[in-house]
Amino acid sequence: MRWTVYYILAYVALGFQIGLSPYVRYQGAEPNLALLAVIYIAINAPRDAALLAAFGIGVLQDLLSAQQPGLYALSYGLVAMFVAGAQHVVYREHPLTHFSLALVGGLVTMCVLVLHDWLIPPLKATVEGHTVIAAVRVSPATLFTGALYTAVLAPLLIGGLQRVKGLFNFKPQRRRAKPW
Amino acid sequence: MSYLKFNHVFVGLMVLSVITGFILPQRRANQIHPEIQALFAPVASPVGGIARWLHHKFAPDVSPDKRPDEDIRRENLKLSIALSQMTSELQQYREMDLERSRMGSLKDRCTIFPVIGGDPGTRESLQIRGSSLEGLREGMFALYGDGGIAGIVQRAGLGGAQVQLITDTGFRVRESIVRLETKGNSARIVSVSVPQALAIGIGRNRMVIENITYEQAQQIRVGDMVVADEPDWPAELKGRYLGHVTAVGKRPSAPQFAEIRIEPRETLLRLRDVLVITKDR
Repeated sequence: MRWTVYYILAYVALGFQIGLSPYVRYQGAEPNLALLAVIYIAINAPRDAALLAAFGIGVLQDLLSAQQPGLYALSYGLVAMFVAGAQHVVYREHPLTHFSLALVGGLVTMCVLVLHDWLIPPLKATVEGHTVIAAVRVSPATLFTGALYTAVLAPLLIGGLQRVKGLFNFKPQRRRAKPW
Repeated sequence: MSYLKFNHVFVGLMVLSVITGFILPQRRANQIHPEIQALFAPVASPVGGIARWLHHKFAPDVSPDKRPDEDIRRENLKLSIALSQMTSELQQYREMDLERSRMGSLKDRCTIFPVIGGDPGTRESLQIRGSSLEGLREGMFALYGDGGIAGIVQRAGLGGAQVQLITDTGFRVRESIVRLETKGNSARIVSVSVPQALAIGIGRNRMVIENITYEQAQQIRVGDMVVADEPDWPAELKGRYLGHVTAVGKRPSAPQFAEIRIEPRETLLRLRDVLVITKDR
């Protein structure tokens, strides 16, 4: 895999995510363009490169988000493990593959974020005077809407990226056979 | 790298992410967190600019305030009267207290920082193009427009800074609810609820108050203004605008308490720049 092209993809995906997110929100949910980049790399790249690349995008997204660092890196690592494991049994060019993998990826990310919020809520339950204020968490419904939103965009964006697959040179490097 | 070795490295990275994500306290995790927001500005700023233009052109923000125009005009008139009265009162106080008049307005102590974009995750924060070299520090207050509070600088480093918005999930601030009351030609701003009620950010550009009884909330009306009244914040932020009441109802889990929804007039995630109070008095 050409790592320079990967860096450009990660940079552009996250740049678009930051710039677009305030304007494309629907009911508080936004599409996750970085996740689409992760899935695109994971269905095409060799396993090791795919895992590292996905983890790297997660780390960058963690550095840019107000969330606790590590959550996106963990999520994308898990997503890449799943997608890279399934890459030989899926039809990589089919829009339905892109949709379903993006939905599964979104749900994995959602599970990690919900689990984190459940264990460590942004605001823990407190007592104010005589009133108990319940813990405040990010709504799972919003996260699910975000996963669906991302999945709907997947055929368009991953399908577009599949046309420039050659730039990434995803084929694994063949080892030279040792001469006898 | 052999297959076995790579797996070891990858498992190590995943364990590290679990530690930083689930075990390390966020404050500690933020200390080892480099700021890289400014690196993404060359892509995020033009993309955000185009998205903003398209948004204003095809789907402009609709105000949550559904009152008829006539009511709003009447309120504007009342506000003008109240403002003129308050300006004259303020002038008297300034003349009485020369030390205070030398302080200057809060805006003089602010630095404007352009917004690069929103949060790439699920939270409500702004990436701003500013750095610790320009005086940005964690915990500084960010204002917008005519002095409404946008949020607090959550992290600041050499490569950028992040502002946690007041509407971010879990943000908490004590507030008061005020209303403009008029009698004849005179107008005044009066407090309409128990002071220092707790407003909590719940995302989607909204906050909620849940620690007022439903009986106390009977006097609160949609359209009332919510202002900061946080004892831990600097005195000059007391009375600064947070939002407007958009709904008053019963709290579903405890009907004897009220659930009061608050929304700022502007969508905070779409601010173009923020004023951060970087200078001391």
